[in-house]
Amino acid sequence: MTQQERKQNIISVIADEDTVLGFRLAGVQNSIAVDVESQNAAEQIEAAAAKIISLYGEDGSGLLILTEGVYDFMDRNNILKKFRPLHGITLVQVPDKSGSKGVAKQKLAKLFEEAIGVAMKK
Amino acid sequence: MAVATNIKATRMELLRLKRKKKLAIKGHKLLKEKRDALVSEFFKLIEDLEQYRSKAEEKLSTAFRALVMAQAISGKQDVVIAANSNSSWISLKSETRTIMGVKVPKLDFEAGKDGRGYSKISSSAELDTASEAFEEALKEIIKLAELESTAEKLAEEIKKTKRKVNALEQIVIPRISESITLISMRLEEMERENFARLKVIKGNMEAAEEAAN
Repeated sequence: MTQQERKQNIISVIADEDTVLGFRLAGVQNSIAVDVESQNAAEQIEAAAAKIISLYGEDGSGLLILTEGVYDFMDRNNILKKFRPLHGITLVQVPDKSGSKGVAKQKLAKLFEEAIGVAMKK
Repeated sequence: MAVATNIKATRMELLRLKRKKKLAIKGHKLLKEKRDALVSEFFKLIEDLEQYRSKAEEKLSTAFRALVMAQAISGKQDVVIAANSNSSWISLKSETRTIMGVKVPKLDFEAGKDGRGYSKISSSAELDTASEAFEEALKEIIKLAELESTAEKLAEEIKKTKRKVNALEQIVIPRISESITLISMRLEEMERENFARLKVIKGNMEAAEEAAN
């Protein structure tokens, strides 16, 4: 497998420790554990994002799984926009072990409102 | 509505603007149809998306419960060792498909041939259950990611198409129409001026003829 081929279609995860452990069991080794509650959460998440970006490269493609907490943190701290130039990567939010906080649903409702012009029925 | 002041009041310009208006109206109709088709596609997708999200969240919650069980039976350390010795044996099959001219990703789960990295003999049944549960959840997450990304791209295209439709409806077509009216009025005015001039000349010539007689 060439380097170019390896950069294609990677699945990676940035999440809390338990979620990362679970995805590693499923066979996703490109998983980075971060703690959004910790003091140095920003540094941890920035480092994880940088590592993932370098893993995919500019023309890489694949899937990046983020927990709702990490996604929200990245969104608030302008880390999420670093992924924007990487068109081949699809970002998806998943709940952590404490269950869904409704971040994904809010995002969907916002998308709906922007596209259609009316609020989505709850 | 602001109309460009540097319009040439000629018949050629009038014809050109009329052709342009016809084209703009045709484009407006087509874009409106595209927007409606995209919206209907988007609605269908949103319904599917909600179903897939609940399914993925349910599977993930089952997987977390299985992980807790595995940690309780095998011990946290063993689970971590098994997770780290696991190979990246799953991969993603990514293609691009087109919906109404919008390129959207098509993602599929692909299992490798190597199998899991940890030994099934030394691991507990709960660990295998947890691994399988996360694998099942991952399959649903991949499908969910595909649908979410499609929804985002469709929403973006709907916004773009709406902007184009509005620009044609509110700015381009009214501006062309006003220009056409302006040129038509100017041409009519010129025709009237010409008619009046001819009348005056004719009157002068008749007066000169009468004076000569």
